[in-house]
Amino acid sequence: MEQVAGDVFEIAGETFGSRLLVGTGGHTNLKKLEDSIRISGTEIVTVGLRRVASTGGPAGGVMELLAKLNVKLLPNTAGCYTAEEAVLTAKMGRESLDTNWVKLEIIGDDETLYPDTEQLVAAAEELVNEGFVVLPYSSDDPIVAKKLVEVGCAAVMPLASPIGSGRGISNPDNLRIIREAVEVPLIVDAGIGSASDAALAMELGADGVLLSSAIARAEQPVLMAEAMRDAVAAGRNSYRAGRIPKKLYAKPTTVMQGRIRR
Amino acid sequence: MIELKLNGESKQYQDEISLQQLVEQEIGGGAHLAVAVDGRVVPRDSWEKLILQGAEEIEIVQPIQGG
Repeated sequence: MEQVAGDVFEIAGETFGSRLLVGTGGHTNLKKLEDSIRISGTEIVTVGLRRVASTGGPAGGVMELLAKLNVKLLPNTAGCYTAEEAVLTAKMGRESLDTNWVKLEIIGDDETLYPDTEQLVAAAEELVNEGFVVLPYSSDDPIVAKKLVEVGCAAVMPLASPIGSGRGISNPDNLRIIREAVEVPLIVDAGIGSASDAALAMELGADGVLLSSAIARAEQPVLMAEAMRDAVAAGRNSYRAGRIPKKLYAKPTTVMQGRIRR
Repeated sequence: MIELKLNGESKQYQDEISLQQLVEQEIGGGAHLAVAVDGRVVPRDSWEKLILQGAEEIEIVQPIQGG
């Protein structure tokens, strides 16, 4: 499914043909990761950063794979609990991958993995001032989204539901409010479980969808990656096409005039 | 003898050591490494001239799969 010509997806002055962003986490099979990325059509993929010793040797495999896929790498700050940790991790990501883009993620607790909003806004402001293009993973709170825009974030990335939960969009009303509240790209990040979730996010007005587990942990990751590609494109087209209003009663599609009567 | 912390673990060396030597000795080099000393990122082209005196806290990270 092709996206409509002229329907540009732009973040911080860079344009992309695909509105699907894909995380590399959770895959146990590098070949399936590669095939998933290829078929998804994504142009932006996320990676994490970890201490070398604790990861058991050089990254080798995954970085070589990503280098040949011609995708933009977006380092994240997953695992950080404070603004201080996240800012340092972002700077190390910039050094490691030679990019000033960062997916800013600051976790509040282990069970929900919900963002710590105070730390998030503080870290976002500091990183923007350091010249970063900040894409913050946030709660689906319109006020937080506005604050993130005020401090200069290049996009807002509210969650659909908790990371890895696959529960889909728990508060569609808030995503619509965020859509109306901000002019920067809105990327729904986390909680997407199926293609219909991704399509709904786009129909609510999201500019993009970021997902990882939904593909990585599907029974057939490559097939799900294809489904997500189509769902994001279909949802986008549906949003732009302008859906019919919902009514309580029927409206005939065949004219009544000229029907036989006995 | 100097002692410093590398990725949270204590390490001892006979003498002062450059960051470049430390990375080669402990990690063996590699692409996409990023190093911070006492909370500040040290660019790769400064590893050679940074001589560790002891008591520094060093973090060395690399990209991994992540969402």
